[in-house]
Amino acid sequence: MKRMLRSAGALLVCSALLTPAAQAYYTVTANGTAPATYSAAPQTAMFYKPTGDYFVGTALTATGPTYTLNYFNYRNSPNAAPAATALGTDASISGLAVGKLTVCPYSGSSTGITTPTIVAYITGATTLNAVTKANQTASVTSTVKDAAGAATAGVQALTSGTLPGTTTDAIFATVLANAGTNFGEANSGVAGGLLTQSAAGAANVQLYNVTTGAAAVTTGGVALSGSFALAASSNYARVATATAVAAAADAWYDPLIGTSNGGTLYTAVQIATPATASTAAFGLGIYHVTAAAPSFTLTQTGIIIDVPGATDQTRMFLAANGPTATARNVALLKVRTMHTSTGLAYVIFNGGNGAAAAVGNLVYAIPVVNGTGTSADGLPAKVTSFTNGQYTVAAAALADLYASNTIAVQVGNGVLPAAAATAASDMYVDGDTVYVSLDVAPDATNEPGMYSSQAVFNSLGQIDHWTDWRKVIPNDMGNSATGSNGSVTFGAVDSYTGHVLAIENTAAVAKVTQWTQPTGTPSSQPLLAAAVNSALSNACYSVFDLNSSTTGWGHTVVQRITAFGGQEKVCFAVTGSSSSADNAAVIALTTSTGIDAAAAIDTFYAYDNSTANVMFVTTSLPSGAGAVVSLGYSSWDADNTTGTTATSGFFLAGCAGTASTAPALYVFADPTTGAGVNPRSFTGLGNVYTNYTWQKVTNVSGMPVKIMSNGGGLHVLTRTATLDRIYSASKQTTLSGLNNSFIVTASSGAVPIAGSTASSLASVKQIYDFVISVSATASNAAIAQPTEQIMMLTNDGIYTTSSLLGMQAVTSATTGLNQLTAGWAKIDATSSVVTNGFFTDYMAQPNYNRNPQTFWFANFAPDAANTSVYNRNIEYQMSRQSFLANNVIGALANALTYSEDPSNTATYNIAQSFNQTTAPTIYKTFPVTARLFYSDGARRFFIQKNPSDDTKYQVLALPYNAYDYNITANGKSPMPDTVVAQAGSFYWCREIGSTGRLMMGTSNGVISLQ
Amino acid sequence: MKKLTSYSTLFALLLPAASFGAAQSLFYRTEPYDPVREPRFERSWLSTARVSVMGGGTKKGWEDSEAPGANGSTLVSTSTSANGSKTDVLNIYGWQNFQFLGANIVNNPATSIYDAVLAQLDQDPTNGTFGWVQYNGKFSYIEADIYLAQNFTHGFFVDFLLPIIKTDVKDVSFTDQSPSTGFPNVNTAEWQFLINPTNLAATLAEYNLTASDYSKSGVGDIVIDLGWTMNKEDIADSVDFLDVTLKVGVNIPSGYKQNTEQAFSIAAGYNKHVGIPVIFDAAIGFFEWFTLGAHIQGTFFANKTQQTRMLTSAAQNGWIKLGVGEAKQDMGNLFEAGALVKADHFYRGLSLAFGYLYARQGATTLTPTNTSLFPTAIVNTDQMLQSWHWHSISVRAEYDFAKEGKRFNPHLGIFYTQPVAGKRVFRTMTGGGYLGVNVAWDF
Repeated sequence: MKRMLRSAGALLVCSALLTPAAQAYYTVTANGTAPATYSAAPQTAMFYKPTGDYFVGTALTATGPTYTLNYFNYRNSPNAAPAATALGTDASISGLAVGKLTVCPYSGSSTGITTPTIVAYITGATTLNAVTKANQTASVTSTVKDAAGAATAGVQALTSGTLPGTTTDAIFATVLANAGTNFGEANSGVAGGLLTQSAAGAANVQLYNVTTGAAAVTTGGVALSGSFALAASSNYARVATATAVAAAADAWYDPLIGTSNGGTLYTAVQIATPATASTAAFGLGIYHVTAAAPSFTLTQTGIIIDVPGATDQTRMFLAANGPTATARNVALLKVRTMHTSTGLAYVIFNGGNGAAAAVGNLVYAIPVVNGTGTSADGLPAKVTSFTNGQYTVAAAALADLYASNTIAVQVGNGVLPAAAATAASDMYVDGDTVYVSLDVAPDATNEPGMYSSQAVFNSLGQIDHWTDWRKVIPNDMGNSATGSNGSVTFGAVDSYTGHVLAIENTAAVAKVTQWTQPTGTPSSQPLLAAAVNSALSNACYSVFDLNSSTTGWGHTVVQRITAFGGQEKVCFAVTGSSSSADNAAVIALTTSTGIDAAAAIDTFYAYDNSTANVMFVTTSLPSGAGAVVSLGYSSWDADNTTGTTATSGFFLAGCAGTASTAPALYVFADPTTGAGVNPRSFTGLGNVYTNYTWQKVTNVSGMPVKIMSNGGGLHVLTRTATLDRIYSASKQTTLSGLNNSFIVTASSGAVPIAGSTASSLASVKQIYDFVISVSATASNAAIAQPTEQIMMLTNDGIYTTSSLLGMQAVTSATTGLNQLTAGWAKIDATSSVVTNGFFTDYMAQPNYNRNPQTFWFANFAPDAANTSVYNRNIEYQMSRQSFLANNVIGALANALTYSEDPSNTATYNIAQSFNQTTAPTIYKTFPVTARLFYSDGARRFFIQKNPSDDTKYQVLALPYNAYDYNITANGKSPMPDTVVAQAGSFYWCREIGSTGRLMMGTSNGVISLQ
Repeated sequence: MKKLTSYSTLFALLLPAASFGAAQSLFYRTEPYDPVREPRFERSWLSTARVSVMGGGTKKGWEDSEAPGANGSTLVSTSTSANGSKTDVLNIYGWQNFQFLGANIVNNPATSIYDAVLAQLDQDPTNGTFGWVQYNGKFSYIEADIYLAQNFTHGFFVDFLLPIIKTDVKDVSFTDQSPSTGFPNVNTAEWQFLINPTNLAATLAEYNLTASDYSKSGVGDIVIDLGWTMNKEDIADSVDFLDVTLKVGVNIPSGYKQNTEQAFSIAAGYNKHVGIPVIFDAAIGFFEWFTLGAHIQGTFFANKTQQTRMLTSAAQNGWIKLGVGEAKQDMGNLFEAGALVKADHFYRGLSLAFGYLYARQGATTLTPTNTSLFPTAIVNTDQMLQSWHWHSISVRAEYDFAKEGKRFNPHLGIFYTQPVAGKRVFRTMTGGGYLGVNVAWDF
């Protein structure tokens, strides 16, 4: 290696003198004084997917009073700051605080999905007000009443939707009892009504008696009779009346869960059992909807379970007493539903078993029965009742439910980066992803912002586990423009555009991310891309992000590091921080006494190294090494769980070589001792790399195009014109040891035993990509498991290992792991044409370095008009059997053995069958071939050929569920964002550290969504 | 032409210069022996027969200065030079892009590793000159022409040309222009796979194409003209004569066409297109030995629908195209203009001539039958379809064995011609000779 360029900042400063300041998010303009969007704090917000409108209700205001109900839209006017449009001109809304709102598509016309009805609740009022964008004359309901027919003390939540199979648009409201204080008290309940529109587009909202379906009496609509609180006669709990403990009662109506039951309404409540033995209480209210002229009725339902013989605190949405007579709490704070890409329905809720202050940082997902056409639809499912791709039986015993420590139900793979008392201020579900907003001041235990977690599936399409919480937007998108307080009150992701929209109530600001290529002196985190571009001369071909899921690194190291590869250079940047605990989410840099408050400020990340902390270094590879096309980290941790035995980790760079120098693999190591970067002793960029150099790994031949390790084996795919190979190495402490450890575990065309089909790759002429499909457990990342398996993409289909040794068990090419013992076998070798064809040369997976089982790839498809020409793609998602039963070490799932054909995969046509609702027929095949694919579980970026220029690429953003976004025809325009549209080639797309930024390496340099 | 006399035997001295006139201008060679056509002698029932043999070759040509690679690694040049820059003979259309060779045409990648590699390359990002190659080789040809002409009365005549041609492209090779830096680069696996000669041949074979040495011989395009000529004498004291000839004819597409299965196949004539040549020649003589001549010709081609290689992506370029299909070819018209100076019979029967000729064929337009596979706009971006032109010079020495009073008057000559500038043409240097006879019938 050339000597390290510690003073990269000096170079950057020079370029910065000539360039403008960094570009960042757009701030929405409304009635506030800049930089505030609003003159009063937003109190409620709802993103409407079909149109991209973000409807907002604010506190009362004397300035621009019509803005207390408003909306803004980025989708329709990209590349510019959105301006909010006031909707509150009606006297019943103007200047008044809008505390709740819901937006319902109008089903009375074919275009009604784009002309929804907006229903607002004025804080303290007893009526609801409905308007449309086209007509702001409000329709005001009669008095919203409680279960006893008296005026409610307040509406706690609004939700709405079109009853399945009808043109009936329904609205639901959780209401307090007259003069009541807590939801769940007697006479609190759920009110309902219907929404219609006139031919002129004027809204009309009418309350009905949802007990009988009858029209409202002269005194107004009558709310559902009877509290949802669990009575002794109820089937849904064994005994007694639970105690309501809070006013809040979130609600979510899903017309697509239990369509034969009119959809399902869920409520989230905070409740406690009485101090009585053998009692139980549910925090999840479940209601079915039955059409009853002229409206509908609600029926509370639930699961019938036995009270456990002992206290059970492990089921997320209920509290139960065993023999002990102790009051126990369950607090559900937010509720939403998810229809996964695999076609299953889940209820997602924030909170859990315990008081609200103890469960605020928890988010769970539980599967529900759906599609049976019975009254069981919508109920929590018996987790073993999985038939024909659906849960079919409701839980009837505690054992039928997942325990709360099951990784399948732990959204975010653990707690949010917040104190237990910090509840989600908003929860937004799209596709397979849950987005959570945290509105809290940063302190030693709280890192506010917006986070997401993505479901990872097993071979049955069930959620197997979740990715770690990852930050979705930069800190400066929140409360503070300096990034010192990243609080976000409401947040949504528009998968149509790929942008994130965030609203913060204290600063009264709404912001939208912007794709930008920042320039200027990189003195703060928003200028990270500028630092990389300057150091790498706008040519960054590879990236490696050591996020919190990186085994070894995530276990011990506070700093998050991201490596960027360019022409014979690798940059390292501090891109955030993490708690020291395994599986914990990203939080601010910690000190011995708690969070370093400075770390929450953008300027803490001075990539010009103008502060005492070294935040950015540039290293050089030997002359002739060529472009760095792949980067990786060995992810090796200590040899025991306590970490007392240190083990070096290694940064690796795969280089393309030049005309005179062959491609090669290089390792960043001490030139004298050969030691790598030990995560146990890493204390920052400033004192590790001073004498390290990039050194060639001579035992690895070919161009290393992929480097991967999840803490077990280190695997490198190299390619040449004639031979593609996967090299594997075991944990080593020195470069020489590493070099000697590499052995070939897959070689194109190789037959380990002449005449045998065992692990034969005779039909494989080329290997394009690979992933580690089974690795260390998510619940214990510290120790690699003896179960690591690899899947690889070849010209002959997808192959997987079935190694009894595990692919991490490299000891000797002759006696240990080798191609023969790897047990390569083609997936679905005989039954699926899907995996027997040629695939594009990439295989994507969630940005998650632990135990992944869900992957995406593409297969070529013929042109519709010229069937001999293959210039189209079909995108696929594959989820394979994890092998590990609940990721328990050594426990194989479903009696599997590694030696069998691992045909347990769920493979979906990503466009045709990825359906949360009606299967769209559009995008069955894509109009052009896709080079890369990125998804965070909600947004999908297809980096595809530009149809008008084969030499250039463009980015097509598509949501998982085109139906939700009212995409009804092929031909959606690619991303119009300027810096995206200007780029011709794209090398990678990746979330970067805990910066909250999504970046892409392009032919014009690195660009950032921030 | 020398001054016309009234004696039938005397004009025989003049015939050689008046009897050429049907050779074709082609991109791969200039008119080999008659750089400027001269008016035919207005003598009733005059007959001419001649056999010419010529040949030539080159390793060079001229490419458009805006062609890919004409400006080195800067693929897109802003040059507006009228003439192209000198380059290898098989590079007259610029570098060829192999990265996108399979774009929008590749067959099922699942069935062939060669198609798989094409598909991979098609998906790779671009990186400067990655995927571009420059072809080179040698071109040569030999040709024998049989020419017959017959005068009638009142200046009318017909002539007939039958060329027999062999074209030969050999020593075909290419050089990789891919960069060392960036990615993808010269070491990229799929690229190295493709440009392996064996693999490349196998890849092209999947599309029934060969890109290697190729030769072909056969009849060229036959030309038949109907002409009218007029000779005026003693126009002024120093002007011996002024001759004018007008001809209109037909270019019969008898020549062998481009072989769509051979990338470097060259048609003998105008690739099966019927042409209508319209020719105007004039000559003026001074001092009994000095002649100035001028020649203008336009050849107008009829459309032809036939199988041809076509682009499937604007990123493709050059000789090698995987797509083949039917298209209506609207061949660009051909225009020629030139001048001649000649020392005519300055020593006995010996004449020397020096000529200049400019020929330009306009762009050819294709209208594919299958426009979804071969979008018309993309197809017509092909450099091979664009106009070509050359400027050529030639010298000729001929000896006329005509004797006064003889009916049969043989003649022979040798010549050399080569283009000196041009665009999208070969720099073929041609030498040859001819032997003929003029017969002055007295009916």
